[in-house]
Amino acid sequence: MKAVLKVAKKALPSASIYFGIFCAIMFVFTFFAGKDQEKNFQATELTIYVDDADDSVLSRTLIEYLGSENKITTEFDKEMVSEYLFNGYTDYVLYFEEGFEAGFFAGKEGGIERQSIRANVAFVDQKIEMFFRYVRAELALGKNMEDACGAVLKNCEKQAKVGVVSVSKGGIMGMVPGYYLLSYLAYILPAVLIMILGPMMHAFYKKDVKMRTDCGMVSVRKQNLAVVAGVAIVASVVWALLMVLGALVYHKDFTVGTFLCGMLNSLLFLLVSIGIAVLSGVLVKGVDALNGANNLISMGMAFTCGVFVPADFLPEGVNKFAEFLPASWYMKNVRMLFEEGEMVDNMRKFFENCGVIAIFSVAIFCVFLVVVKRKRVA
Amino acid sequence: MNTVVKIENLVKRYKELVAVDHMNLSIEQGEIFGLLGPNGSGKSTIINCLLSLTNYDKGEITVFGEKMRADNYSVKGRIGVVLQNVAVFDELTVYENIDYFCGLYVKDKAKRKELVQEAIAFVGLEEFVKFYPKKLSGGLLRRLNIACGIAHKPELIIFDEPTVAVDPQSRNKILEGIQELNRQGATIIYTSHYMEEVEQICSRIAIIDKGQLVATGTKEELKSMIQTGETIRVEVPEMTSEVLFGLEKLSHVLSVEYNDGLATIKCSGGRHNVLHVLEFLNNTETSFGRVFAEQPTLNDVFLEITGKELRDEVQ
Repeated sequence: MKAVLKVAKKALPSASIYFGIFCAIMFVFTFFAGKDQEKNFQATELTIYVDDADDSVLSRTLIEYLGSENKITTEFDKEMVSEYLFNGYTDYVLYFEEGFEAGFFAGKEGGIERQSIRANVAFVDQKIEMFFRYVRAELALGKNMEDACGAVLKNCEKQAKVGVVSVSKGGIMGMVPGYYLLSYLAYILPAVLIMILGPMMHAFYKKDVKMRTDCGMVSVRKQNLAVVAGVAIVASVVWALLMVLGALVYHKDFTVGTFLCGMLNSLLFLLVSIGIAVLSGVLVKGVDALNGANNLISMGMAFTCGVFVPADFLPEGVNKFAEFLPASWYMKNVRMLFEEGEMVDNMRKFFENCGVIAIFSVAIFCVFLVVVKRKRVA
Repeated sequence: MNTVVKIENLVKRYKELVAVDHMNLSIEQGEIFGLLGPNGSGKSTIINCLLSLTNYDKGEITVFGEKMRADNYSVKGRIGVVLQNVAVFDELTVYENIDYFCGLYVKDKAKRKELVQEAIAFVGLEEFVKFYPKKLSGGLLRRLNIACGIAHKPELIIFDEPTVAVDPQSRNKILEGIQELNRQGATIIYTSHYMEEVEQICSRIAIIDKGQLVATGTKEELKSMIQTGETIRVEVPEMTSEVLFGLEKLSHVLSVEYNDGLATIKCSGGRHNVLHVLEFLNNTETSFGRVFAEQPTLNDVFLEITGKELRDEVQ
């Protein structure tokens, strides 16, 4: 047992380099991903010119509502609107005609005119339509225009706040940094474990060493138990280290539920990673070859399963192929954990995915046992 | 004398190939027993069967009077193994390696420490205890390999070709070490395809070919089994056919060959053969140069019994 850990310890320096680089990349990437998103959001803020001839509660509320996410300007030269639009001084022009509110109240269309030459303003149109739908709904409840507009504005403010929080903390996919921690585990766990456990298995199952060990007074069962214990300790330490580190840095991104589900998911993936690592250790000859195999397995699996590049961006063929890799099922669960509302609706799906990962780990361990047995017989 | 190892009617097959064919061997306490045979003759397979590292198809092996099985740990504890390839951990130092393999037999830490120190001193690795195997030369690695096999002071030590790819100086050290272990009371089984080594250190030898026991006995007994007693080589610049026939007719001469100014005369076990040959050459007024006389080697034994050279097989 002591020797098992000593052999594992020898692989620590190279594994820790891997680990350090990973952590650095994770933090840097997470940090910059969040910043970029904020800049992008500000850059897409629209300038809206408004001419409010109606000056009613409805028109003022709509202007306030649009103003929460866009820049509103009321002072401009009406003759120059077309030029402003063409030169990009404004993105959108909104005219409220007199009697707009009265017409709206009476259920008439019109009273509002919109102008734009840009394609990226569809969102503003949608927001205006949505605003009208909400106001009509409030009016239908018997409220007067002032109360109806007040209620809609209040509701919209709540939504706007949620949106702002999500964007300011989000990364490329609008996910919180905790998402990156869990998704990168799909790369780092197999990579570090192959790096440590691979040479360990290689050393203990090397034909001549195994022969000499089998000549000793320690039964094969006890030898295997010592190796299993060593593997379990090393894997647990690596996993716990990553989880503690992640929890310390990203604890705000997790609820108790997502954290527990994330732990379960990563724990099952840890089993798969152990299986891959020990199998690589007995199959691949030589430490250099093992390093090559490590890159191929961990990087290859991470890329095809949507760890570095979201699965939505990958070709359908790659996604289909990824179904045969455990990391893709792990990633499905990670995405579910961080997509709003997904978990509540899909707990059953989450556990099904966990089951698939567990089946993968059992299958890999079975292959490992067959390989070891065949080596022993040979 | 007590019998340490008894192999009876051992048969081991690898599919169609019969690696060991009805082998019978008996090794006595205190012997250095040599298993001599070309590569692929079945030496290592016999050792693997003896150590229960592989199953065999037929026969029985007893070690220290007990049937040898994979789970017979009391017997295993009395055996030390030095394998053909260096079987150590690259990740552990010299000391840690010896300690690990000694730990497979000795649980008591204090006792083990003492044994490890003794093993290190025995193979002369005191200066290298903190070295990793990759930093050691081939000869030092072999010594480490031996230390790992003998640290627990076994009564029976099996050396499976321990001098393969070793420089002559290290080879001599290894052979001296084996003889010293034998003097200290260990019974040795030594497998090799180097007949000089086997001849040098083994008290009894079994010659094996194609999984079968060809001959067994002391080197003197083995040599006495063959007709060739002595080979005399004489540098003769010119030799007539009369002289050649005359040499063949001398008593105890088995055969005469003459090639490139060198006459090779093979004699049976008579005495003063060299004297008789030189006397004949003088009498026939045949001038000659240097004279070499060689006693029969195990290669001659192997050649005469199997019809092929042991050296050729090795190459």
